[in-house]
Formats: sequence, C-alpha cells, structure tokens
Amino acid sequence: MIENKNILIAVLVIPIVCLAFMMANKQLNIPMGTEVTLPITGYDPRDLLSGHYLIYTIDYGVEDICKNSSSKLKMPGYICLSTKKFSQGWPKNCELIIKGTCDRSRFVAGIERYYIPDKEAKKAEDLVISNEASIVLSVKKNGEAQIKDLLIDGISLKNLYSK
Amino acid sequence: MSKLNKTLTDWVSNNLITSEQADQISAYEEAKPSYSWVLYGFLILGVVTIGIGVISLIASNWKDIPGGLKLIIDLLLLIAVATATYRSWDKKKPILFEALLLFFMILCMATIGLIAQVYHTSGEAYQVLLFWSFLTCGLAMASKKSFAPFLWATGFFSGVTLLMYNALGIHLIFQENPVPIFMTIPLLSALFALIFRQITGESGQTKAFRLWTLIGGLIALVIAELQILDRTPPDLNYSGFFLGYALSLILAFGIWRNSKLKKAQKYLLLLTLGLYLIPFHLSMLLIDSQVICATFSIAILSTMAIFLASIGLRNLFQLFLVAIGIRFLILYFQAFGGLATTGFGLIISGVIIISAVVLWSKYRQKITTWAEDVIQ
Repeated sequence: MIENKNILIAVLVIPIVCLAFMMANKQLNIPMGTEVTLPITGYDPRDLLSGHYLIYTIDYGVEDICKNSSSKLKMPGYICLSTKKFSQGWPKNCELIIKGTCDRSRFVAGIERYYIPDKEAKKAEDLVISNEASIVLSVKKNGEAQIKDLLIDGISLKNLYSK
Repeated sequence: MSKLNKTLTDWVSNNLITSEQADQISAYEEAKPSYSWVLYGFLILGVVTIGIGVISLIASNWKDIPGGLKLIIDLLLLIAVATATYRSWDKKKPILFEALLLFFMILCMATIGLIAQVYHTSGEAYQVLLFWSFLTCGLAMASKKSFAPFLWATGFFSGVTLLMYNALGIHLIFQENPVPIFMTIPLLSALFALIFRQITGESGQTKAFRLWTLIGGLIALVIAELQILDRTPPDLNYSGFFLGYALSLILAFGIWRNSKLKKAQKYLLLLTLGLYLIPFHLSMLLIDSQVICATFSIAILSTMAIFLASIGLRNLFQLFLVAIGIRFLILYFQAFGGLATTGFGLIISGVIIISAVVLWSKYRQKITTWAEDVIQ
C-alpha cells in the first residue's frame, strides 16, 4: 500500500533502530546500577517465545511484603533494601530501592525469571533446588532492577553448565 | 480450458460478445502479471513456518554462543531481511515483497524474545505484544495484501485485550471481567476498518480489520452467552462499558456519514450495532434467560449477514449463515422447556427462514422498492 520509497525505507528502518536501542539500553544499564545479591528458590516452567527459564521467589529479607494489598487489585510496591522495609509509596531516606507491583499479594519486579539453555534446563533446576542459589542484580536509583547473574553456592550458573 | 475461456465461449455462443471481443479480453487477461492465490497461500504458510522455526531456534538458547554475539547476528539478520524486502519492492516483485515483509514482522517478535532471554527480562505478555505492534505498524501499512495486516491486528488486539485485563490501573476500569473487554475489542477493530475503508477503500488493511471485527464479534457473543449460562449476577458496574459506549457512538456517527454506504445499509449496520450492545448487559439487568440471549445473538448474526450480502461479501455472508445454523443447533441441545418445546420452536424457526427466503426471491424487487420508500 505504501508507494513512497522513503516512507518504505523508514518503516523498515524504525524497528531495527528501536530494537538496537533497546539492546544498547539494557546493556548500558547493567554497570550503572548498584550490585546486590539476594537468595532465591525456584523451579522450571517453559516460555515458547524465549525458551526455558527458571522462575523463582526472591528472598528480600523484608517482612510483610504486599500484606495490605487486596487479593483482587494490583498496586505499586517498593522495597527498601537499605532499611529492609516495604511500602506502597516511594520510600524516603532510602538509598537502595526495588520498584515493583503487588499482584494478588505477590511482589513482582520483572526480575523473577532467569533464562537457561534448552539442554541444561533440568540440570539447572536440580542445582537451584539442592544448593544455595542467589541472584545478582543491578539496581538503579530509579528503582529499576536488572539481572546480572545467577549463582549456585557462589559460583555463576553459566560456569557450571560446562562441568 | 480455463474458466475465463469457458465463460468467453459461452458468451460468444449466446451472442453477448463477438469473437473478436473475446480474443481481446483473453489477450488482456493473459498480459496481466500472473498471480496465483494458491501459490501466495503456500508461500505465506512457508514463511510463517520458517518464522516459528527461527523463534524455536532462539528459544533453545544455545549455551556456546555468547548473548552479545546472538544479538549481533540477530541484528544483521534483521538488516539483511529489511534490505531484501526493499529490493523486492523496488524490482516490483509483489509476492516476494509480501513474503519478506511478513518474515520481517515475525523476526521482530523473535528479536524481542531474544532480548528478554539475554537480559533475563520478565515483562507482561501485553507489553511484548504492544511493543511489537508499535514496531511493526508501518510494515502492516506497507502490505498490499491482507495477511500481514491481519497478523498485526491479531497481535495488537490480543495485546489490548491483555492490557485491559492485566495492566496496573486499567484493570480496575474493566474490573478484570472479560465481558466489557470482549465487547469493546470488536468495536475498536470496526472503527479501524471504517477509517481504513474511508481512506484506502477496499485495501488489505480494511479487509483485515473487517475480518477481525467479525471474528472478535462472534467470540464476544459467545462470551456474553456464557455469562448468562453462569447464572450468577456479575460483580460488575457500568464503568467497564464506557469505552465501548464511546466507540459505539463514534462508529454510529461514522456509519451515518459514510458516503459509500446506501441508506438501507446504514440502517442495517446501525441496527446491528444497537443489538450488539444488548447481550452484554442482560446479566447485569438480572435477565438470565438463555432464550432471550439466543434471540439477540441470532438477530445480530442475521442483520450482519444481510449487510454482508448487500455489500457482496458472499463468503462472509455464508460464514454468518453457518454461525446462525450452529446457534439454532445449540438451542436444540440447551433444550429449554423440554425437547418437545425446542423441537416445535426449531421447526417454526426453520419454516420462517425458508418462507423468508422464498418470499425474498419472489418479491425481491417489490420489497427493495418498498424498503427504499420507507427509508426515504
């Protein structure tokens, strides 16, 4: 339907530029945040688009997370890792915050998945269940967190694949 | 002998056209660029299969290739497919252009999945679908056929449906109830179809949105009927329907102002639109009669079928006739008031339909003239 050469070039280039920007943004965000390591527990479901991943519960060391949230409603939530407190508004006097959502009394911050190779899925699941597993995060000042690594007894899961 | 040649021979033998004219028509048709919808269909099937294969390859998450390298390979593949798409357009190869455009759209989705995999992002499904829709809306507009726009519409409306259901804040408006959401989506699609028909005529985009409106409408009617079957009054207030009401008003205005529709067609569409809104509110009005709900469904399907016939969309008209038939059959299984009552009801309905068809075929001209007089 588009008959103009320049418009066609634009519609072909825009997705590539946006996706490249998204990749660069994710990559550059990692060193900008503060590194935090938190313990996890998990199991292995499957995602058809992106492959196998471990889904886990993060132990933030904070009590009463999303306790006051209604079981039906979604609400914003904030965990202050410095004072180990949960709040439903932006916490004051806190240096390290993880921003998320209380979804049916569960805190979700977009860091609850760790993708693993297809052939290593079972091995990774067993390692996480039978050992001390933890997740390494990069937490930015605006509360956004990004996964850097998954550790099994302090060793990166990626290094354990080859063993 | 081809279908065209058979038709031309028939016309010549009945003295409708001369043999010279038949030769001219035959030569004109043969000179046209060859296009086979069968070839196109299989090509699209092949492209979609390859696309799913690429997504599956990405999903297997090969441990020997570092994440950064995977992203670079993916970007290079995107650039290569985009370049090939442009070249096919430039060299006027329409079928290849459509196939590559579709592959590029699927590849964009695969890339979003790859980024999520490399950076371990766990977003909501609606975020993925709407981001993909944003990236590829221009590509769907570039297509001259209807499959790429239909694929885009599927992603977009699925994303909007999940957004209404899940997104923080918005889910409160729709009260996490499928009824107002499913009522709204076909209205949104119909608005898109109306806008595209006005701007681009019978383009691939118009056809895609129209098909999505009809499919979405059929699904919405099923949802409305299931709600009646549930028999428990829904914990729902009218705020969830406001967007649907607003879209209906805009649509009604658009239909009324549409210069390409005849007056009778406008009345028929407005009647369908008005009837469409009713079944979603029956349980809120504490009406739990399956017969009333079925009556509305059959009335909506019938008015829509007549409208589709009036604009010459024979296949869609037949699809709606099948839907009406299925609804009558389900009515039999529901067996309201006992099998005997249902049996009499269905026989009477069948007789009414056949009588209407016979009357229509006998007095079509008189009825049309009378209807136009009434409308004017």
